[in-house]
Amino acid sequence: MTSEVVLRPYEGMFLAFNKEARKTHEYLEEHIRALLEKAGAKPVRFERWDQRQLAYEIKGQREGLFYLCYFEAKPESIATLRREAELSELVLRMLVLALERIPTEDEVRKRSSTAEEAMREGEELRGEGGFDGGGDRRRGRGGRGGDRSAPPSQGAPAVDGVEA
Amino acid sequence: MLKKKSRIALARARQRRYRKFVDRGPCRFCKKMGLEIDYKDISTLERLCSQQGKLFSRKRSGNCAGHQRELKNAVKQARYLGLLPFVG
Repeated sequence: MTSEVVLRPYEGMFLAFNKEARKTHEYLEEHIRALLEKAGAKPVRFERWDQRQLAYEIKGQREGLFYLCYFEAKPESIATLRREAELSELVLRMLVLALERIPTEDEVRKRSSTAEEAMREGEELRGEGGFDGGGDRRRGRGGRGGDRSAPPSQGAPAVDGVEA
Repeated sequence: MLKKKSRIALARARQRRYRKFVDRGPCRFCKKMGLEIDYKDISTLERLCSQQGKLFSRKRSGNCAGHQRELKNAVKQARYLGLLPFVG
């Protein structure tokens, strides 16, 4: 019992290179599976997200494919996995999180629906409360322009002069 | 007279608004027991961020300290993966 290797549950999100993905989804999936295997991880569940627009450009890519993988691995092997993912040209980003246990598909679905519900209630509350101070404050911050109209121009060249 | 009246009305409105803000009750995530904040739940995260991509303050969103912290981590993870913008 004591000599057994302890495998811990992890969740890995891989952002893969889009151009290659368009041609062969299976190839990319296999590539990620190979990365996991190299690190000695056992994939439990593999999910492919739809092609998504990225919020910002990553390595020249505006779109990407996300692969979510729940796997079990030794804690030491995560460093190997990270290194392998960094060396891989097909994987743009990778995020690995340690879990307490791997959630079932039903649990994941339930969670997302309850989150939606909570948000909807929150929205209603915000509407009732009528607190929108953030917007007001942002509008008030336009006061920066005052700096431009102020006459520190007399002081500025003097400083420059000292530096020169 | 009118001026004074309107000033009083304004002050009352302000007071009312403040009172409502104070009486808002527990945070939206505390109400739903067992609800976890996840970086993959982008619609939730987006609604708690401004158009610039900055996380709303606790005062604005009404979150408790613990959930606000979890939310902060989730937003940072989502930003790293390109799911949310660093700057909108």
